[in-house]
Amino acid sequence: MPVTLTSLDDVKFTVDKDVAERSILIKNMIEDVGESDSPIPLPNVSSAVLKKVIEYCEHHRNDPVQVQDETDDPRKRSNDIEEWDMKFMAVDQEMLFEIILAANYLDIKPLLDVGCKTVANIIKGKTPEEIRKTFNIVNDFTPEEEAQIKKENEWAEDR
Amino acid sequence: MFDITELDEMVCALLDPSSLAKCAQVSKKWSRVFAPYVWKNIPKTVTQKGWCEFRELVLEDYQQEQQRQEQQQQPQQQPPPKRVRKSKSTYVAKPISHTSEPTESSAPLALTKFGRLVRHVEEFAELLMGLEPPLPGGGKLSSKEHSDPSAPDLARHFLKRCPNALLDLQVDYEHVKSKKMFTVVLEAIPRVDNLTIRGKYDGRKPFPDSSFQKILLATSDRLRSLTIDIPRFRLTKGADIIGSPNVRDLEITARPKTLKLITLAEINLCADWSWIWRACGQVEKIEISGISQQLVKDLAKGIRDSMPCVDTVVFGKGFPGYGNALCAANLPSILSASTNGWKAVHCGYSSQWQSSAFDALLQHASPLEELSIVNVRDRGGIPRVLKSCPNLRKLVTIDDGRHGSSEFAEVDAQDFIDWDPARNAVQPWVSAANLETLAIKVTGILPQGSNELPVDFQRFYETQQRICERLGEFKALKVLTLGHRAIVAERRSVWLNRWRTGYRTTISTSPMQGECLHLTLAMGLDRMGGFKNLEELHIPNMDHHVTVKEDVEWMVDNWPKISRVRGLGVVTEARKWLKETHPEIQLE
Repeated sequence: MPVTLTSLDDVKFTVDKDVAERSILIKNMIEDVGESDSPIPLPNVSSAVLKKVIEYCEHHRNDPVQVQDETDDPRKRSNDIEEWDMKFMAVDQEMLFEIILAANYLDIKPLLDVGCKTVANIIKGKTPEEIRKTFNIVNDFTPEEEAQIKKENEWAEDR
Repeated sequence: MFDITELDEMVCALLDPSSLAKCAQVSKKWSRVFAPYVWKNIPKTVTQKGWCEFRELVLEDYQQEQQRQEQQQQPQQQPPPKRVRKSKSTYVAKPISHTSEPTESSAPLALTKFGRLVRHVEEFAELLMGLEPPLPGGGKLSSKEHSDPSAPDLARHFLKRCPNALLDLQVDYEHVKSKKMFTVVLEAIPRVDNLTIRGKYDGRKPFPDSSFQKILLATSDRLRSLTIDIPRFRLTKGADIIGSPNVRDLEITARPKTLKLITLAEINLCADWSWIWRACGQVEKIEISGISQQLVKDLAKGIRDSMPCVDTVVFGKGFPGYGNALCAANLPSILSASTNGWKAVHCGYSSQWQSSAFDALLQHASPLEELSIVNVRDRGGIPRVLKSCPNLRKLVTIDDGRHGSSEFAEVDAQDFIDWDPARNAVQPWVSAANLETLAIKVTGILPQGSNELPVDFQRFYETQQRICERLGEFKALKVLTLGHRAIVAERRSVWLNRWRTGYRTTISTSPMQGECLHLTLAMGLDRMGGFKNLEELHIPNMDHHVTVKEDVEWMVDNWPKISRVRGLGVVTEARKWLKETHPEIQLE
């Protein structure tokens, strides 16, 4: 049975129930409300982002439910993003962050994982200046403060 | 970064310390977000080249604190000192800038600012070493050559600034030897959650019993894990840790959950360890290797009288001969000591299981959920476990070459089959309902002494089929490992390659798979159709009996959850087919 989702900017998306239910939020909503034809409002997600999220859910509709392995060291898993997901995540920074926030709100754990891994991979190996450029962040330190903060952190840096 | 702590945490967990340190320098906001992760676990985040800078941060903070204290001691009417107190050390720290009211107006130093963020000091001994003053050439000086401040001074100051940190600490002979070091170590011990007390094998450097006692008495209720690894004690005259009457009255505050006893081989024969066992009332897991027979008896009593929660035991992993061995006679005394039975028992190759060990274990068959053993003298033992333990979830009897060779317990085919001629079926075993992980090597499939296909093909065929039937009974299996001869997977692949390319060595021509189980439809594979939960199949040493596409096709059709297969050869038709048609199944 199809489910209709309404985005923040009032765009309607009709998707199969199993696709929509990759989102635990939506799954719980459907369970609570029961099957109904009325659209599900998602006031935190814009249509552009929702379109991407649905694309992800459609591609992964048959994936087994993820089992969280607490003992795994997350650092070891950080680079393994499968090829499709990697291409899917090749978007601008703003969209990437929007997708992560949407995945968090909609409770889609695998998408959230892939998003965070992508951000981590972008950060890795960059200098503070390169990170600022990548994420459009203004350096709000005075030169003295910058020297100070560098000194406070250099013991943890690979050089 | 996201203004949502959980999301920041997820990204930070994926970053290495160096990347975190770089993020902390991006902007004021990022600095606030990332600092807790940079400082979370010291000294693990200090890079090898970073110790100089790290020591300097601690030193500056230390000197500022010294200065503040001096000012407080001076009468108020006197003007504050204009200069930094000069360290006698040849190590020259950068001068600390300050105005006429230095402590009040100068910006807080890094350690003062961030010390509260340190959650874990893993490991404190490493921090002590890292805080040793550097030599001009980049080497390290011992603290003796520097008068002030020494590594223990700085370490003490560091801990003062990190009130939220829990510590891992391995106390060595070296820490005990120096009075100053030992004082700092004793001060740190109440904050330790993972404590190891480790002596030396060197007979000339026995561990002083008085220090041992002081360490244990300094522990607090934060202690979770206690490891004692002391080959030799030096006993103080008249106050030995075991013999003296006042020892019995000692009270240890700590209530660890894990107790590890390693290499306690030369303990005084009149040992009284009850004061230690008394502190173990909450111990859930105990690890034992290389302890004296006398101590085994004492420990067994300790378990019985003082450790009602203990349900997991690990017997000396590793090779015998390195102080790991626990003689076969000792196993039953420990195994029968638990009043409620064991939930998990793990035993390395170093300790041999005879039937008396199985008797002791199976006094309480019902609690047992996990068993791993590889050195088994009693061939009937493992079938007995499978017959008697209804809650067994994991049985591992193969250790595949972590020590360079594969160790395994052999289970005779007929014992494993346990055929009931009246029903013309295998006897039902209670473990069948819950067993999820099974790693087993079934031997004796061929009549003894024969390495080629036997003449009695009918019997061979029947045995194979019945083994499959027995295996098929374990319908809850998720991971199945079937062993073969003791051949290490990696080494064997080299041999196999040589063998395949015609370059034969002595090993490759040995009867490698002569008595191997055949996991094929022709040999009864279809009896294993009930594996609806099977996720992993490991058959690293029997691949040339699973080369036919049809057999693997059957597996995929009947085992819907299969996602990982190890040991399907290198160039077999079955492997090729599986790789092409089911790329989602991981092949190794």
